[in-house]
Order: sequence, then C-alpha cells, then structure tokens
Amino acid sequence: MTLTRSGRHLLVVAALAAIVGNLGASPEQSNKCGNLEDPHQLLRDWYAPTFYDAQSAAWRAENGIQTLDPGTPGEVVTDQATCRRVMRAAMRVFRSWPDWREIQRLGYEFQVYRIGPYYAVHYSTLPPEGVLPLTYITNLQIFTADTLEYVGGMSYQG
Amino acid sequence: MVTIIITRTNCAADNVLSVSGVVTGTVSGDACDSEGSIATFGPAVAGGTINFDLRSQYGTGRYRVEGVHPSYTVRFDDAFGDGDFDDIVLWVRCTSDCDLLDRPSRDTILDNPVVQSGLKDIWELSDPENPTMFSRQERGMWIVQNLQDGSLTWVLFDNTSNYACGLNVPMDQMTRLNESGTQRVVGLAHTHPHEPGTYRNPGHCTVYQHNEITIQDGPSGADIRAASTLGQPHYILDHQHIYRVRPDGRMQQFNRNPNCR
Repeated sequence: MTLTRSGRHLLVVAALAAIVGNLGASPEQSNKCGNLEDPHQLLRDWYAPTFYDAQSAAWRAENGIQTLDPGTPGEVVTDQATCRRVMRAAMRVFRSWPDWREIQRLGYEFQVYRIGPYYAVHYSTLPPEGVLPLTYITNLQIFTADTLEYVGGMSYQG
Repeated sequence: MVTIIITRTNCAADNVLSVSGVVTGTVSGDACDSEGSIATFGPAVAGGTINFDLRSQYGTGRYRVEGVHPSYTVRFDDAFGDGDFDDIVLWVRCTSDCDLLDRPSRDTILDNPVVQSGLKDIWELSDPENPTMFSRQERGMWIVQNLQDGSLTWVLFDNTSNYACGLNVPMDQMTRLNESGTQRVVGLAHTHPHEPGTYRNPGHCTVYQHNEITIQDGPSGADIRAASTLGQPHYILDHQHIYRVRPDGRMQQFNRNPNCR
C-alpha cells in the first residue's frame, strides 16, 4: 500500500498516540518498532558507524558509550514486545524535554534499532503538509540493552 | 561575470538602477519593487570598476560600498533627503570565469557557464568559510530554461526556503516560474557548506537541541527525494564535490576545481 503524505502523517500520529497514550495496547494495533520507509539505509549509512568511527570517538567517551568493532552492522528491531519496552523507556526521556510537545505537534517518525549492547531510538519530525525539505535532520537516543538506562544521543544532519 | 541581487528595499516606486564600467546594463527598472531579483552581467573585463546609477523621483541617488573582492554590499540613499542609505541594498559578486569542475562533466546543465555562475554565487552566499559552523547556511537555486531560445539561467530560492533548521524547496516559487509561460524549471541546486564532522549543537533548531550533531557527507535521503518528487535533476555542491541526483535516484559525483572559488 502506498500512503500519501497526509496518510502517512495520520499513520504516524496514530502509531504514536498508541505508544504515548496506551503503551500496553495490543501489538496488532500498530507497529511498536517504527515506521521509517527505509530503516536499514539510515542504520547502515549514519547510525551504526557512530559506534565505531573516529569522528564520534569523543562523543562516545563523553557519554560512556563502548566503541564497537568497525563494521558492526546493528539491526532493525522487529519484536513488538521488545519495542514496546524500549519505547516506554524512550518516552520517559522524551517527556522530560521542554520541546517534546512541539515535536508531538509537528508529528514524527520513529524506529527502534539494536546496535551492539544498546537499543537506539530514531525520531525525526515530519515536514508540514506541502513542504519538501532539503535539510534532513534525525535524532538517535541510546539506551543500554540490559537495563534500558538512557546514555545519550546524537543528531544527524544531511 | 557580475551578479547583482537586490537584497532589501525600503523605498517608493520608480527607482531605475543601472550599472556601467566593466559591465553595462539595467539592474532593474523598478528597483523598489524588485527585492530578491537577480541580474547577471558579463563577462567583464578584469581589473576595472563598476559604477552604479540610481534615478529616483527625488533625483540621483548616492551609494556606499562595503566588502572586499569578490563580494560587496552596496547601500543606496534615494535622494529623498534623509541620508539613510537603506533604500536599496545590493549584494554584488564578481565571479571568475574559471570552470567549477576539474574536468567537463558532459552534463549540459552543469557545464553551462551561466549555471556555474549561479552555483558559485549560492556557494558564496552560504558563507562556506565561516569558522562558526552553524552560521553557514544552505542556499539553493532553480535552474531555468528560456522556452524561446533554450538558454539557461538561474533563480535564487526565495526567502521562504530558509528556516532555522535548514532549507526547504520553495514549491510556490517553482509553480510561479513554470506558469510564467516563457520559461520552465529544468533542475535545482543547493549547497552543503557545513563540513562533515561532529559538533556541539548550538540549539539553532528548536526541536533538535538535546544532542551533539553529526554532519553527514554527500546528498541525503531528502535530497534524493526532492529530485524524484520534482522530476528534476538535483545538484548538490559541497567543498570538494558537486553531486548530481537524477529523478530516478541515480547519483554521480564530480570533483570541484580547487582553484576555482
């Protein structure tokens, strides 16, 4: 099925409403793991390298994030129960941000990844109806896989 | 080439602005109502001067010039009598005729000297050497074909395109250009003046201020999507390269000529 932009927007809003408003909802109500069109490309090109490349070394050290073996691929998480657990932890962090209401108002895409011993949650706001952006900014918030403790985040601009 | 952009106006109608010297011509027959318009002249003789002439209903205007080669700001007073020198403000850039690429691309748009002049101008407007990374600003332009003679020119993205977080495609402007009946948009281009790396987030973009920020190299998914959505080739200019993204998503990288800025 191909969704129009407004259709996609509604889908995102519906998915997030389910997550934010009813984290215990049944898995078939929405995809708890995300709604990016091509989650693998971002993982491969932008996100996974952050965990081992040289330019992010200072950021990893500052946030106590392990340096993984070069080429560690990471994965797009698909298990709904896992995603629900990760998103619950993520929402606790997001709701503490003063601008989270604005992000909710704009609407956003999200995706849950596993990279080494971490879960990572992507979010990026949706452009307003009829706007075609050239600057693409995404965010990755990182949690330990064992305790779901928040360890830090990185934004990406391309 | 000499590019003149009317960046700001604060005056009444009927101001005629022209240039003479190494280039000659009319910048605008109604400069007060031409904010954002672009005029290109040339090729120009090297090493000369440009004189500006502003005729308003109050008489002959005066001007002050700021800046150093190759970019200048020219501020006019329209002789109304207040001596404010803010009635018309121009951005003037003298572009060398050097080839922007290290070798011809065999792309009729990219090898066109007028298009290259536009690319050099949007690059300069991006402030690409500003040491404060996030003071640099992506800028864009339409590549436009004259329907009568097939010649190419360019039009700077209008001021609806830039916002705090970056650059959007000014869709309404493209519609207006295509509806003129005399020209049509055949491509778009924009700059990536930020150098790849990881930086402290200056909080310039309201909803992205929690993290450090990594600038990625090359065209983004949004850049590729713009080419396919608009059905036009999309050129992306960074410090070392020009990328061409075709509407079908195919991408090619060209190297910039390091001696041509």
